[in-house]
Amino acid sequence: MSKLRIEVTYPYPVSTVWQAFTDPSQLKQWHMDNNFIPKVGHKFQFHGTANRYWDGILNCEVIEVIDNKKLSYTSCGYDKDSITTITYTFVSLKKGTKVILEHTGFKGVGGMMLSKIIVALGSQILLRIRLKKYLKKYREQV
Amino acid sequence: MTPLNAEKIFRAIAHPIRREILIRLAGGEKTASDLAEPHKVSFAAISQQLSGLKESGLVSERRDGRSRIYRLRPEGLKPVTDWLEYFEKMWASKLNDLGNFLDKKHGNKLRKRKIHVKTSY
Repeated sequence: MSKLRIEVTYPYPVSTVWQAFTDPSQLKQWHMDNNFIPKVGHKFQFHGTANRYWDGILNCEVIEVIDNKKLSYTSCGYDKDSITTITYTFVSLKKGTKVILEHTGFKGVGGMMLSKIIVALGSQILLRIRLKKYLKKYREQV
Repeated sequence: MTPLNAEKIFRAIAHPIRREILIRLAGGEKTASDLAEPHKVSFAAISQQLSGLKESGLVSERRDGRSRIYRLRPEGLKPVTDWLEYFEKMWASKLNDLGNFLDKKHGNKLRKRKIHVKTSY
């Protein structure tokens, strides 16, 4: 399954960071307007600015809450086939809190897993090299 | 949430024969009859799948004398990689905003922070 993983460390205690994710008014200030409640099964929406990838509304449902440790919800745009899952893991460190974000479940039309294509094609080393070269070239042009 | 041009590619590869054609072309360029061989399907049927793949931008065609030779265009996958890249950038920017939000809220100077992004397929 395709997975996007991002890690960031913030120099604040885990309870402070946790609140920024779970208090709707704080969440609104750095993320998007929302009616989030940290309760499993709670359905909520994020409202943001529409762009070419979505219409500005995400329909979400909380699937896991472990105070100060883990928060997970499903997220769905206008294309009902494309539910993805977003999981935040909070790791308390001496100097702050590490947040690990994982966004999984990217699907194509008809529930086709994106990973199936890329793994099938990408397993061919030749293709990987070509694709890498191409993307590198493209980035240089931009 | 999939953009239109990425959907085109997903549709193109939704068919198992088309997927196999792509995988075989990843090993190097081939003619339609090379591709028809292991499938026990008609040349015409393969041609039809190839024209769908050409339309999606995943395959290109060139003539060499009498035969047409097909080649994979890995850059045709770009709408899909762009789509994932959009999420990478969006999250990196959001998590940076979160850092700025926390710094401001606690009356600290805005700090620079490292953001590690990794996408696995």
